[in-house]
Amino acid sequence: MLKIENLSTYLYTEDGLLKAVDKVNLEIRQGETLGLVGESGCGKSMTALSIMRLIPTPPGRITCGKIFFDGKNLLDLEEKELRQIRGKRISIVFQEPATSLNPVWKIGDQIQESIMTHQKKTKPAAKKEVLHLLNLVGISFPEERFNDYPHQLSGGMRQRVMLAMAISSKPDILIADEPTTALDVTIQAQILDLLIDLKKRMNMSVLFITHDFGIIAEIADRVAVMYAGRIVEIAKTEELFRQPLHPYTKALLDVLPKENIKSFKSIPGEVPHLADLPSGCYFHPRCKKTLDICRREFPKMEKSDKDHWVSCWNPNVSIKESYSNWRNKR
Amino acid sequence: MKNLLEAKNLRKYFPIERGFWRKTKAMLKAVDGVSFSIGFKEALGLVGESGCGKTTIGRLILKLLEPTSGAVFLENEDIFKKTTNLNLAEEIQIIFQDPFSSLNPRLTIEEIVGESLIFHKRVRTRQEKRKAVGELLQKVGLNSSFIGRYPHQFSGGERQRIGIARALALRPRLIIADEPVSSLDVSIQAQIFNLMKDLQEEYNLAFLFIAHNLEIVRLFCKRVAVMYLGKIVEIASSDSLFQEPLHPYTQALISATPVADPTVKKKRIVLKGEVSHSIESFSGCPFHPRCFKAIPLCSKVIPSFEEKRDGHWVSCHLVNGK
Repeated sequence: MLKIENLSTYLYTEDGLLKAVDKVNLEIRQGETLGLVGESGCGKSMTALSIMRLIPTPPGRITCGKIFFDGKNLLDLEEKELRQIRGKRISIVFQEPATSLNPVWKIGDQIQESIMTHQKKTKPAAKKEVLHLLNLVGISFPEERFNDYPHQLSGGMRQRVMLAMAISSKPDILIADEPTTALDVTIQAQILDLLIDLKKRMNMSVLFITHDFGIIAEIADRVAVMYAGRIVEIAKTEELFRQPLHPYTKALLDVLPKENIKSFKSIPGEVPHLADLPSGCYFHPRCKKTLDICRREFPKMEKSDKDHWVSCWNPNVSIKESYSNWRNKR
Repeated sequence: MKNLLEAKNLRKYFPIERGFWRKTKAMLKAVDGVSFSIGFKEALGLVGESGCGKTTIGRLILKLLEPTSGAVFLENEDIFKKTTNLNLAEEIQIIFQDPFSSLNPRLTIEEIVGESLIFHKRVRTRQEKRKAVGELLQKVGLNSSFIGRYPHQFSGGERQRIGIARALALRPRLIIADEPVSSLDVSIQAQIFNLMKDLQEEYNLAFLFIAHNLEIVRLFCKRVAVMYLGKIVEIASSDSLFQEPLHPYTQALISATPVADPTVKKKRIVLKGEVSHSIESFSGCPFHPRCFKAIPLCSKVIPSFEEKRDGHWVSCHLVNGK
């Protein structure tokens, strides 16, 4: 569906060169939900913005790589062609609905505008469509809500409006960048249910960005784990939780509070600053299984079984072993 | 058991003023008749969604707000009594949620942590202050040579450690932790969490742990109170609360928390609607408009807060007594 090859997005700042996204390879398949997890500052959102070509320039620049969608490389497209895709065939929902809606426009008009630009519909037809969409995302009394301003709605309602806008053009891919982080748990549950439902109805692929493994476990089909601008592991969700290969993934999963365990395991140290990355594998200073080679060279992505990729010199289960496990299972 | 802190029927209403003459149009009932107690060295968890009054309770106990009615006793001494000679800052301290806005960017770490030591005359000379602050920093896992640095030179997790050092400086008996880890990354959350746990042991601290993440509260606290719209709807030991939540709101809250295990396919209780405003006056149970079990009685009569199991208090019509 969407294929990212060797994508690098660098930020040229006063602190020096920040490799926000560094040689990322990723694909989003037809009809799947791909989860992208990592801690703050690891480049999750920058990856999403790169796909949409919304990187603020300067300081940011996509320095190399290709993003294939529908046979075309998005990075080669002219702005005019890009508009046929961005917001139309690939939509995005941001984390903070309060800042991504225009505060001085009625919400109905905002959704209507997006329909009119992308689908060349007349105003009355677009309005009808808006009411239908508001209904679809679970906003009651759409006719009245149409004339509300964003500040009159609660956080959960605003996120529903954002979703209505994102799906208005029936996109092939929806990028959801931490859509529930700013919301309460009970509202989060509502929005997640809505998202799962919409995905089925509209037959979309979803790139779901989050830092919460709980949400990943509930909605993602496959997961990519990011650390300091690089993807370190990609696997099917069940496989990743059952047998995480990268020490970072394992540590992240161990950190989660579990029943019957009365204390947390923690990961020593902190995420390195992007301007000051360690040599070799970026995770080696915090890793329990560091080898000599980890300090010198960044490991390549290796395939451990059909759908499980890891970039580590010394994974939790050796790649050979994991591969034979997989073969035996079959 | 004697309690360190006891809140009795605490209320805090904020007037909503509208129009030119600032007439009071309505009352926002941020905290509406809340009673609870915290024992010595006990960690009490306080959970609920945003806007339910958790933080207001914290601020009332710190005497940053005057209550509309009700009382808070610290070992039988009413903290709101005018004539009290209780020095509250030496007894109760707070750790804030956001480590970025809670440290003054113009002060060095020495000044931030040591300010209260000077004010309360715990140290006399500059050398003494330096030494005390250095020791505090070591206690919270920071290098004592950081003493001359400014907050912007630290990461979020380190700043939260500084906030903890500041709260510890006067050796309080109770610390109010207002969502201390929710703005941090998961890997850092665990570090701060373990630190607080160690300090609790070492200094015999009691905690009022305010959070919206149930899993963290479950690990940290022996007892948990669940709030909804200014009222405590359920208090129980964390074991019994998580194993057998009695109030429908608690049940929904627990089931809405995502579990990091793809093999668990649980049935989520998805609540309809959102938290209504505490301004709107309604009759009956505050939760009834969203409750999935509501019966006609719920919209008429406010359920009383009763002990329905041993040590398990709940206010719901549908829960049968012992």
